[in-house]
Amino acid sequence: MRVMPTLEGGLRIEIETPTDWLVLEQISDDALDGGEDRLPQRLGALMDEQSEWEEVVIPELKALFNGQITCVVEGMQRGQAEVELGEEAAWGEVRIPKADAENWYGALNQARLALESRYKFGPTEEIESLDDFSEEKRSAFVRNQFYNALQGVLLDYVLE
Amino acid sequence: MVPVETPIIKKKAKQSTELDGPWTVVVFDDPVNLMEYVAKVFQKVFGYSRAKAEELMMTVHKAGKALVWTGSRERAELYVQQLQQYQLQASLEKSK
Repeated sequence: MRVMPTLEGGLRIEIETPTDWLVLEQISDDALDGGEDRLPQRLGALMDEQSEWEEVVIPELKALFNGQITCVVEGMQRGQAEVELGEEAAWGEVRIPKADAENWYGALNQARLALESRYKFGPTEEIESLDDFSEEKRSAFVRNQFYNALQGVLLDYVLE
Repeated sequence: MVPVETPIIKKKAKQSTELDGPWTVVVFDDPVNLMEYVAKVFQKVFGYSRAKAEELMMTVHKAGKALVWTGSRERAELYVQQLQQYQLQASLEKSK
């Protein structure tokens, strides 16, 4: 796939093979690994009992994070629908309008946090070789790097 | 004249003392959030200059955590909530 900025201030992901769709679909799967409560509960655990995190903030975080994933899923569904309608050449594209950029960034972050939680990669600069990784962990690491790269493009070209 | 209410007032006063400031907002390092993003979040949430936001971000990265704001508990909770919305690991500590 190729990722490029649009004139409207967003991003366009050009799909080059059917596998690209599978890779993008992994974003929501990875983000939801461990359940939709995992990240809000983990963040809430940092607070003391005097705060009202459990009652007030955690439900809000959960709704916000779910909304980010929904935005990504719907963005891909729009792109896939256009391919099925024959409106796009080749394998289609996914558009990330500027207004959706924070949601995409957040969903990618959720996916990377979940992958880190499961596989414990640690700082990327300290990883010298993937040889010791199992096939599953290596695949997860490659996805993590892809999500990281996409976040970098969003930061550089879209997010203010 | 209203002795029955006295213990309640005392209890409230004690709770208030426990929560009285100053409190510090703490951000912890993690291997996921990008450094540039963390600095951007500090600018957005606290209105810090780019230089100050980057300095705090580097402290988080190198020291494992940074004390990013100090003030009332209520305000500090609001900031922590905002930082967590950006998926940063943030919490509160009572200032010493």
